[in-house]
Amino acid sequence: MMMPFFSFDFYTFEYRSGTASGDSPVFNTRRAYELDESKELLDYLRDQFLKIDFIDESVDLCATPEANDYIGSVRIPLRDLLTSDRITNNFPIMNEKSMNMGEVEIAIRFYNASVRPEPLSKEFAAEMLNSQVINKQVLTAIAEKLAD
Amino acid sequence: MRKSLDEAIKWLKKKGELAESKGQPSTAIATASRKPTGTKKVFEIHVGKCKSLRRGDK
Repeated sequence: MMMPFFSFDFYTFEYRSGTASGDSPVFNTRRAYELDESKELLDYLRDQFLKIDFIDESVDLCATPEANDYIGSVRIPLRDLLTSDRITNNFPIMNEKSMNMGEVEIAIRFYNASVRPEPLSKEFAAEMLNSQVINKQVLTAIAEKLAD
Repeated sequence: MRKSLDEAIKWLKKKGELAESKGQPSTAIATASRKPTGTKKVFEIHVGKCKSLRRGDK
Protein backbone atom coordinates (compact mmCIF):
# COMPACT_ATOMS: atom_id res chain seq x y z
CA MET A 1 0.00 0.00 0.00
CA MET A 2 1.22 3.49 -0.83
CA MET A 3 2.25 5.76 2.03
CA PRO A 4 2.33 9.18 0.44
CA PHE A 5 3.45 12.46 1.92
CA PHE A 6 4.14 15.82 0.35
CA SER A 7 6.64 18.60 0.87
CA PHE A 8 7.18 22.10 -0.44
CA ASP A 9 9.35 25.17 -0.04
CA PHE A 10 7.70 28.57 0.08
CA TYR A 11 9.80 31.74 0.37
CA THR A 12 11.89 31.13 3.51
CA PHE A 13 9.76 28.23 4.74
CA GLU A 14 9.87 24.49 4.28
CA TYR A 15 7.12 22.03 5.05
CA ARG A 16 6.78 18.26 5.07
CA SER A 17 3.38 16.71 5.70
CA GLY A 18 2.60 13.71 7.81
CA THR A 19 2.45 10.36 6.05
CA ALA A 20 -0.93 9.17 4.80
CA SER A 21 -1.92 5.78 3.39
CA GLY A 22 -3.56 4.54 0.21
CA ASP A 23 -3.69 5.90 -3.32
CA SER A 24 -6.41 8.48 -2.60
CA PRO A 25 -5.46 9.96 0.76
CA VAL A 26 -7.10 12.99 2.36
CA PHE A 27 -4.43 15.22 3.88
CA ASN A 28 -6.67 18.09 4.98
CA THR A 29 -3.55 20.05 5.84
CA ARG A 30 -3.64 23.80 6.36
CA ARG A 31 -0.55 25.97 6.68
CA ALA A 32 -0.46 29.72 7.09
CA TYR A 33 2.63 31.89 6.84
CA GLU A 34 2.66 35.49 7.97
CA LEU A 35 4.99 37.71 5.95
CA ASP A 36 6.02 41.32 5.83
CA GLU A 37 5.04 42.76 2.46
CA SER A 38 8.21 43.77 0.67
CA LYS A 39 9.60 44.15 -2.83
CA GLU A 40 11.42 40.84 -2.36
CA LEU A 41 8.17 39.09 -1.53
CA LEU A 42 6.37 40.58 -4.54
CA ASP A 43 9.31 39.66 -6.82
CA TYR A 44 9.22 36.14 -5.42
CA LEU A 45 5.49 35.79 -6.12
CA ARG A 46 5.91 37.22 -9.61
CA ASP A 47 8.78 34.91 -10.60
CA GLN A 48 8.37 31.65 -8.69
CA PHE A 49 6.22 28.54 -8.78
CA LEU A 50 5.03 26.70 -5.71
CA LYS A 51 6.27 23.16 -6.31
CA ILE A 52 4.71 20.49 -4.14
CA ASP A 53 6.44 17.11 -4.31
CA PHE A 54 4.61 13.88 -3.54
CA ILE A 55 6.68 10.93 -2.31
CA ASP A 56 5.75 7.35 -1.49
CA GLU A 57 7.31 6.44 1.84
CA SER A 58 6.40 2.76 1.45
CA VAL A 59 9.25 2.33 -1.04
CA ASP A 60 12.27 0.72 0.60
CA LEU A 61 15.11 2.20 -1.42
CA CYS A 62 17.67 0.07 0.43
CA ALA A 63 15.95 -3.23 -0.37
CA THR A 64 15.02 -2.24 -3.95
CA PRO A 65 17.49 0.39 -5.21
CA GLU A 66 15.93 0.33 -8.67
CA ALA A 67 12.56 1.47 -7.27
CA ASN A 68 11.50 5.11 -7.34
CA ASP A 69 9.70 6.67 -4.39
CA TYR A 70 8.87 9.85 -6.33
CA ILE A 71 5.21 10.10 -7.31
CA GLY A 72 5.23 13.51 -8.94
CA SER A 73 4.84 17.23 -8.38
CA VAL A 74 2.30 20.01 -8.66
CA ARG A 75 3.56 23.35 -9.98
CA ILE A 76 1.47 26.41 -9.25
CA PRO A 77 2.51 29.82 -10.60
CA LEU A 78 2.47 32.21 -7.66
CA ARG A 79 2.09 35.28 -9.90
CA ASP A 80 -1.64 34.45 -10.06
CA LEU A 81 -1.81 35.67 -6.44
CA LEU A 82 -0.83 39.17 -7.59
CA THR A 83 -4.03 39.50 -9.59
CA SER A 84 -6.33 37.24 -7.57
CA ASP A 85 -6.33 36.67 -3.82
CA ARG A 86 -6.95 32.96 -4.21
CA ILE A 87 -6.20 29.88 -6.27
CA THR A 88 -8.49 26.87 -5.91
CA ASN A 89 -8.32 23.84 -8.12
CA ASN A 90 -7.79 20.13 -8.59
CA PHE A 91 -4.20 20.10 -9.80
CA PRO A 92 -2.61 17.27 -11.79
CA ILE A 93 0.44 15.64 -10.22
CA MET A 94 3.01 15.20 -12.98
CA ASN A 95 6.21 13.15 -12.86
CA GLU A 96 9.55 13.95 -14.50
CA LYS A 97 8.31 12.39 -17.77
CA SER A 98 5.26 14.69 -17.79
CA MET A 99 2.99 11.73 -17.03
CA ASN A 100 -0.13 12.31 -14.93
CA MET A 101 0.35 10.50 -11.59
CA GLY A 102 -2.91 11.58 -9.97
CA GLU A 103 -4.47 14.79 -8.78
CA VAL A 104 -4.88 16.81 -5.61
CA GLU A 105 -7.25 19.48 -4.30
CA ILE A 106 -5.36 22.63 -3.38
CA ALA A 107 -6.58 26.04 -2.25
CA ILE A 108 -4.25 28.99 -1.70
CA ARG A 109 -5.09 32.41 -0.34
CA PHE A 110 -3.00 35.57 0.00
CA TYR A 111 -4.49 38.32 2.12
CA ASN A 112 -3.80 41.13 4.57
CA ALA A 113 -3.10 39.83 8.06
CA SER A 114 -5.58 42.35 9.51
CA VAL A 115 -8.37 40.47 7.72
CA ARG A 116 -9.54 37.26 9.35
CA PRO A 117 -11.43 35.33 6.70
CA GLU A 118 -13.34 32.08 7.12
CA PRO A 119 -11.09 29.04 7.53
CA LEU A 120 -9.88 28.04 4.11
CA SER A 121 -10.88 24.42 4.55
CA LYS A 122 -14.58 25.43 4.93
CA GLU A 123 -14.45 27.83 2.00
CA PHE A 124 -12.60 25.27 -0.04
CA ALA A 125 -15.24 22.61 0.62
CA ALA A 126 -17.99 25.06 -0.41
CA GLU A 127 -16.18 26.02 -3.61
CA MET A 128 -15.54 22.41 -4.55
CA LEU A 129 -19.21 21.63 -3.95
CA ASN A 130 -20.21 24.61 -6.12
CA SER A 131 -17.93 23.51 -8.93
CA GLN A 132 -19.40 20.00 -8.76
CA VAL A 133 -22.93 21.45 -8.98
CA ILE A 134 -21.89 23.62 -11.94
CA ASN A 135 -20.28 20.60 -13.66
CA LYS A 136 -23.51 18.65 -13.20
CA GLN A 137 -25.59 21.54 -14.58
CA VAL A 138 -23.32 21.84 -17.64
CA LEU A 139 -23.47 18.09 -18.28
CA THR A 140 -27.26 18.12 -17.94
CA ALA A 141 -27.52 21.04 -20.37
CA ILE A 142 -25.30 19.25 -22.91
CA ALA A 143 -27.29 16.03 -22.53
CA GLU A 144 -30.57 17.91 -23.05
CA LYS A 145 -29.14 19.63 -26.13
CA LEU A 146 -28.03 16.29 -27.57
CA ALA A 147 -31.41 14.74 -26.81
CA ASP A 148 -33.22 17.48 -28.81
CA MET B 1 18.13 23.01 30.43
CA ARG B 2 19.39 22.68 26.84
CA LYS B 3 18.52 19.00 26.81
CA SER B 4 14.98 19.53 28.06
CA LEU B 5 14.42 22.28 25.44
CA ASP B 6 15.55 19.94 22.67
CA GLU B 7 13.25 17.25 24.01
CA ALA B 8 10.32 19.70 24.13
CA ILE B 9 10.92 20.76 20.49
CA LYS B 10 11.16 17.11 19.43
CA TRP B 11 7.91 16.33 21.25
CA LEU B 12 6.10 19.28 19.63
CA LYS B 13 7.30 18.28 16.14
CA LYS B 14 6.23 14.68 16.70
CA LYS B 15 2.84 15.78 18.03
CA GLY B 16 2.28 18.01 14.97
CA GLU B 17 3.12 15.18 12.57
CA LEU B 18 0.82 12.76 14.38
CA ALA B 19 -2.08 15.22 14.32
CA GLU B 20 -1.68 15.80 10.59
CA SER B 21 -1.38 12.11 9.78
CA LYS B 22 -4.76 11.70 11.49
CA GLY B 23 -6.25 14.23 9.10
CA GLN B 24 -6.48 17.08 11.59
CA PRO B 25 -5.66 20.43 10.03
CA SER B 26 -2.63 22.17 11.45
CA THR B 27 -3.24 25.72 12.61
CA ALA B 28 0.37 26.67 13.08
CA ILE B 29 1.27 30.08 11.69
CA ALA B 30 4.91 30.66 10.88
CA THR B 31 6.35 34.12 10.33
CA ALA B 32 9.04 35.66 8.14
CA SER B 33 10.44 39.11 7.86
CA ARG B 34 12.43 40.76 5.06
CA LYS B 35 12.73 44.51 4.69
CA PRO B 36 9.16 45.23 5.80
CA THR B 37 6.99 47.93 4.31
CA GLY B 38 4.61 47.82 7.24
CA THR B 39 1.86 45.61 5.80
CA LYS B 40 1.60 42.05 7.02
CA LYS B 41 0.37 39.47 4.55
CA VAL B 42 -0.71 35.90 5.06
CA PHE B 43 -0.01 33.11 2.59
CA GLU B 44 -2.34 30.24 3.38
CA ILE B 45 -2.46 26.85 1.74
CA HIS B 46 -4.87 23.98 2.17
CA VAL B 47 -4.10 20.57 0.70
CA GLY B 48 -7.16 18.33 0.60
CA LYS B 49 -7.89 15.07 -1.11
CA CYS B 50 -5.62 13.27 -3.54
CA LYS B 51 -7.03 11.03 -6.22
CA SER B 52 -5.54 7.99 -7.97
CA LEU B 53 -1.92 8.45 -6.95
CA ARG B 54 0.57 6.11 -8.59
CA ARG B 55 4.27 5.83 -9.14
CA GLY B 56 5.93 5.81 -12.52
CA ASP B 57 8.00 2.71 -11.74
CA LYS B 58 4.90 0.51 -11.29
